[in-house]
Amino acid sequence: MNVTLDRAGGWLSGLAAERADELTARELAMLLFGLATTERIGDAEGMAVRLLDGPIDEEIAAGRFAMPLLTARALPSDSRSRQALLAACAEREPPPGLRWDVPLSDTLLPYAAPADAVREICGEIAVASDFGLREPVLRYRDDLRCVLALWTFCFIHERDLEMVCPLGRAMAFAGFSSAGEHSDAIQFILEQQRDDGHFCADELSAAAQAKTQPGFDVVREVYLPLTVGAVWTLSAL
Amino acid sequence: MSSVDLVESRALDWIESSFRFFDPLTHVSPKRTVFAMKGAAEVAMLCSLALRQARRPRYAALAERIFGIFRNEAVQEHLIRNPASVPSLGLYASLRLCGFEDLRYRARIEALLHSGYLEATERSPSSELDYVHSLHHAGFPVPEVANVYRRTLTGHHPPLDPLTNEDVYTITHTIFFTTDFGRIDPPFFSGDDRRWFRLALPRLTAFYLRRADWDLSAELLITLGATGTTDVPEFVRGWELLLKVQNEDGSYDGPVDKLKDVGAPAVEPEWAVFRDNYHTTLAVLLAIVTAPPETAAR
Repeated sequence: MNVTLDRAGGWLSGLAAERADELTARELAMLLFGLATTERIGDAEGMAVRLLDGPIDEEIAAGRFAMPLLTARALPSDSRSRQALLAACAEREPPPGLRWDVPLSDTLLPYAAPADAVREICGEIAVASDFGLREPVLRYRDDLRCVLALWTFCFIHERDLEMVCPLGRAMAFAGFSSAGEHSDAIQFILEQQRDDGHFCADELSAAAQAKTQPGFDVVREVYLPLTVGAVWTLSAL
Repeated sequence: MSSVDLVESRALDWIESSFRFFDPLTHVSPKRTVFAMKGAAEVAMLCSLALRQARRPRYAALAERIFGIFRNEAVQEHLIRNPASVPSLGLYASLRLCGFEDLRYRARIEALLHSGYLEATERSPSSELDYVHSLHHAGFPVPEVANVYRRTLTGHHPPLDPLTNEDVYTITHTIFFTTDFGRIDPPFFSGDDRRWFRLALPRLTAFYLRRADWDLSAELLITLGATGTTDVPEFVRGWELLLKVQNEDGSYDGPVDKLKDVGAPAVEPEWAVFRDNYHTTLAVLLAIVTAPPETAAR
């Protein structure tokens, strides 16, 4: 696992060194999270300053308080701030607390929820657990474990790394790391790392998009979010 | 009328109104002829399964119409001369189960069997089970199937992640034919088989429900019923979902094959709807007939 994170950190550092000036505030924040998660925050000081000086969009505003910690290299030891910042960047701001009050299995949600809804529920679990800092209060714990396991299986079967990452985190945050599907998710994520350290589950589709869509930047639009999502999930174990 | 009865009735309306497409004599294209014959055999199988419960008069009428097609000499000639590409034995077996007999055709099938060709033809183990199932219902001697089952993908209890849609179809068909669509509990199913069914079939059902693949979802619901795995949420919710997604015209959308139309010429819209939806509509009817929602165990 450390080797994996180290290789990913190397790829992120390379991106920071070569292309930091081109990145949007959101991409920059994402890159900072990745660097922090892979213990490479020393490579990111200049970027953090730039991010603080520049306009910060609403999506990452919630995590702004953590920026001084980041620049002071304190972030890796301050798990709560790091996770809150990660949350602001990589997950949508969820409502305070879990919104369902019936077992999910009593609804059609497990079979009909679109990916966005699944991601939203993962975000709610993340918040309920303070991003893994405490055990969340879950009313229908066994039911939730079954549904998360089911979704994890489905998205692994679809080879959808973008969805397997938040599901893997949600299972870990909810205390379901012993489930077989959580191990499957981690194994699946590990298998998607390329030699240079970035993560991607479908290089063919990424390459096709890069070739057919003018202006499509595969590094910024595919590799960066997937790599940060993957290292976050792997470090949330 | 219950919601299941309503869905069944509307699906049958659609099948009846599309019936001309099941008649190979209405097609000029050889490809469509073969397609229609396979479809007709599937309708006949549906009818045979419905009629063994002796409570479904619309299926008797459908079976009679299929028998009318089957009686045509040109159709029989094609069936006998092309047993590798059309269901020569399966169509006859299903119609026989529906109470229809054609002794002249039977004699020709018997001669084909005696020639050794049908037995010698190379098949996958799951297709072999289909063949033996037809042989049995046609009233011919059948070989032992336990060893054939053990050679199937299902009999090897495969991991689920690498399975393709085609693999899952072989799994559903293996269970259809070994259990005779839930009518028998084969003695050769081991404890490991049953544990694998309980793990794999609900998971696969959920996966195909999420994909809105109603074709495999319906087939998997049948396998849940046939293996006695009806006490899982996937069976109850699967039915709930399936009953909600019927098209206005009574049909069910077939799975989208993204590669199918690459380079293919445009076809008449009515034919396209039939081509895409007939199998899924039949699969849902087959599920209603063999593993209806009310069989869910609590």
